[in-house]
Amino acid sequence: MADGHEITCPACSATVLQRVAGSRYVVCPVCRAWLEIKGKIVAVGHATGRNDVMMLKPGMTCRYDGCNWVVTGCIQQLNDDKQAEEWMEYKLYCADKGWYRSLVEYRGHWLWTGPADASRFMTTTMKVKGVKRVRDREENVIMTQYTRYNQRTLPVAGEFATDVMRREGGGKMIVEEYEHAPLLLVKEMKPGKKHTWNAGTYLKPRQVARMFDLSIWQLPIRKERIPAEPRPLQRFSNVWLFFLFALLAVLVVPTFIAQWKPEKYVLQESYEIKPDTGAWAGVGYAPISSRLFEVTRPGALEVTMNSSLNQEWLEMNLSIMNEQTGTEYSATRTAEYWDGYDADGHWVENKQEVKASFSDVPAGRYLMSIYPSSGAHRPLTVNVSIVECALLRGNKRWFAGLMCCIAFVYFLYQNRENLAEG
Amino acid sequence: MLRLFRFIYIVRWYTWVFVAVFAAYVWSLAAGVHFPYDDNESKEVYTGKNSHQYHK
Repeated sequence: MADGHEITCPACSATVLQRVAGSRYVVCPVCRAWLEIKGKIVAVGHATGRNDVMMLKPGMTCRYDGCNWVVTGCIQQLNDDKQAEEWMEYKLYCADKGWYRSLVEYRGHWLWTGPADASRFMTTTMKVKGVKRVRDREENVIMTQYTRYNQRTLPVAGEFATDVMRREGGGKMIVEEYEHAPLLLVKEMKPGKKHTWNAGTYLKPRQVARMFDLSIWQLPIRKERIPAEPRPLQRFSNVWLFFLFALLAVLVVPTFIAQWKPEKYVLQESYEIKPDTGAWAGVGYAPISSRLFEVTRPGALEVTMNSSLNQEWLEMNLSIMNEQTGTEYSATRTAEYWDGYDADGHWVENKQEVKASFSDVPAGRYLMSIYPSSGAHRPLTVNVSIVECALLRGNKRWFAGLMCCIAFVYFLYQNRENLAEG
Repeated sequence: MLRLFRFIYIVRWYTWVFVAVFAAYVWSLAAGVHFPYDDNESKEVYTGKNSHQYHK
């Protein structure tokens, strides 16, 4: 539980704020004495970490992963094998859940890490070509080791639940780090002790700046790439990449289908229709009846009807019947052409060509009939073409639209927490 | 087979949604199924020889 308990530094008598009741070690912000709180407060050392590069100060708050966090401490960590390598680790505490997490800053890159259950990771039989790998069962990824070093820890400021100084003085701690950007895994090995695991994720500086309500320019600039940093294409998650490829494939696939199952005209005819003054006067025009035509392969049948109209409409009741089975396919289409002038200038409504598509039409001999009606009252020419194994181009935009909808739903799902907070 | 199961387990559920939609698209083109609905308005099946005479 976070509280504001004040203690007095035995070294300099300064007042030190202890934010978390469970903290057992505190750095005096005035004299930098390393204070142990065990009933009474004793100065047991000195905080030797660099405090000039401390970006986040103890007491700063943020919200992340559905919790409110407060920065409780800061430690400087060094790679004992390469003295030039050092980074800052900020300890954060969530009072609601009693959780500790770490935010690590290394050369302008930020990593959020927290303790993980060892049973989650599978290390055996995963060494491939000398590179050690770990399978993370929870994230369903295989992580690759990219570094191993001796770690040294120096406290800088704030308060801690454990003695990071003694950890440093009490012996070596070997650390192995694994990555599957943006995920990170840290395995800490202390002689004679059980290994501990920390799982983490890469945070963009922009995210960190937003979390702490800082300007991005206040944070250090990224100096070089690190293994856990997502590579340019990884900035899209795999599913986004898959979505882009699927969208591209939706546009390309019809070309391959057309090669495999080419379209073929089975009827291309032109009909003169005249106003019927006899028995069909009520309809307006005599019906059209085509010759019998052969559909050789099962598939979609696309009928295109075209007529030259001028300020007229032409409704066509189309019927295609299988001679052998008697199965009828019918559709009603209206062709029209209108133009005129209004306040915006010339306008045109041109729909002289209309189409009807019938799904999964079996092979066989067919007869086409069209029952036209129109207000034209003049002879008209109707051009009809029928294509077997028609490539249903209309499906492309429907499926592309469906893909986009799914991607949008996925986007909302992925950002549900941010959206809920917003 | 084990590798196949492992692959199915590793790939996330939302990827399978995309795969399913894409497969449905390829099937609709290959089988000639108009999406999202068929233009056919008729449910009629006329029986008998020379049934097209019915329309004349």
